[in-house]
Amino acid sequence: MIQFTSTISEKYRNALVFSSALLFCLLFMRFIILIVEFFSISVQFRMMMGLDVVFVFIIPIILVFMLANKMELSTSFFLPLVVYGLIFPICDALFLDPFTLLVYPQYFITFLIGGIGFGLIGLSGKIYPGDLLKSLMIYSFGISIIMINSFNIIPVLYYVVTGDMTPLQQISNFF
Amino acid sequence: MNLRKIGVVMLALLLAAMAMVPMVSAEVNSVSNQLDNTTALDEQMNAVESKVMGPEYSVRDQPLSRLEFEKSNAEYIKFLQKNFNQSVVNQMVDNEYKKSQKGMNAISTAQTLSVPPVIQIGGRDIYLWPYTNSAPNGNSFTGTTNLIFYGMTNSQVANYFKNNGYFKYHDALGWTEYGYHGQSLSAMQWTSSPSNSPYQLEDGSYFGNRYHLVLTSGHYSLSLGKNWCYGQTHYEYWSTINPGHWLYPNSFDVAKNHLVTSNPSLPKTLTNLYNYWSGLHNGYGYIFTMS
Repeated sequence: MIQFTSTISEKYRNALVFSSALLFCLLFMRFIILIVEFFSISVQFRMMMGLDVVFVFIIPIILVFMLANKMELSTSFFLPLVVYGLIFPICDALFLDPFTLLVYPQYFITFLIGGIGFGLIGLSGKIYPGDLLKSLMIYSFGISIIMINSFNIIPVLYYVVTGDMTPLQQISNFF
Repeated sequence: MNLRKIGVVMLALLLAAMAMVPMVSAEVNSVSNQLDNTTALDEQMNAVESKVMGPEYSVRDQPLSRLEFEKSNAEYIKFLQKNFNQSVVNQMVDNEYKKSQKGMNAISTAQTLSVPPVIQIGGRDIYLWPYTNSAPNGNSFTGTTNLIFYGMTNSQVANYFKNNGYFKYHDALGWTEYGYHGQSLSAMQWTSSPSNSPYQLEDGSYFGNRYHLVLTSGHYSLSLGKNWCYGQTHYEYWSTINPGHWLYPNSFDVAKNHLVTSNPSLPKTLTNLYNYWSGLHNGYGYIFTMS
């Protein structure tokens, strides 16, 4: 029994570590917001947006791409999809209004589409050593899905890099 | 088919089912809630009636001078000056001013109206367009009016909600919203609701959940004088994956009920404001008697 348990845990350890790291990274911005608000810390708006871009987009994409290599082909696609598309929205909703968001289908759709993008990035990370061109194509497709799905991230990224707020002002629901 | 393939197919089916079930149940809930609400609202309707004016009294655009624009956004510009350097602030104000002069608002979530209705409230000399927009034009709207306050100006109402009720409101940040109203159909005017008190309040936080209340000051009325105002309140959250404020389902109804729950002793009546917005607002608003 002990041997069976240890075999199972050995088999799924990578997936578990990967899922935990990805989830923690995605939720890190919520922890920052909680801390900033709880202690009334004054943080520059650009800094907050920068942290959002880093923890919700840049690090997770790198993480998925790098760690997918250690997983099986189907896991490299489905694990990021499940973590980003299902577990992350549930955990994220706990920081907001879970009773409303968890029964609101539109809320999940954005995450599920983003999850497909992350799944493709995982897939591209898995096949990267064997087929560079195919991997690059899938990676580009995945990134495109993420960018189109989270369309506000492009003006936010531009603002973080240049400090120019013009594109942000085109977003009606930003301020 | 080997076990792994079956597993993958089962997982895909499970995911699809998990997405479908809440979709279907939420749709059913929203339809039944809407029917329940309509019946309940009809039963609760008091004597305050509102009347829709004809399409010939549609909303007229009003271009603002640069000085007027800066004056109406003074509070928000002050906030920007604290957070950004002067050249960035100038550029931002410039962009926003140009946008307001274009007539059409180039924003993604603004709703387009076919015939913008102006309504009369309770047979009084209060005519208003039951929406707000981020520019002084009626080509689109960013919010639906769901609150009218008799007996207090907007600054008195803001002070009231900051100091009374189970949930206290505080100053909020947001771009200026514009309301369109007048004593008669020939004397309609645009009024701005700049950021911060006494125009914009919130219960909650900017980067979390918030009940955002936007107040528009009223014009002089023969029966109420200047002591009235109106506004809209909505319930929204900040998204980290698509940064910005996103409305919760039935956002305008939830927020106006939150205000009522927070201040149960305030006398109120329901009125039809003819501004139903699918999934967000049932088209009815409260008239509070504040004095």
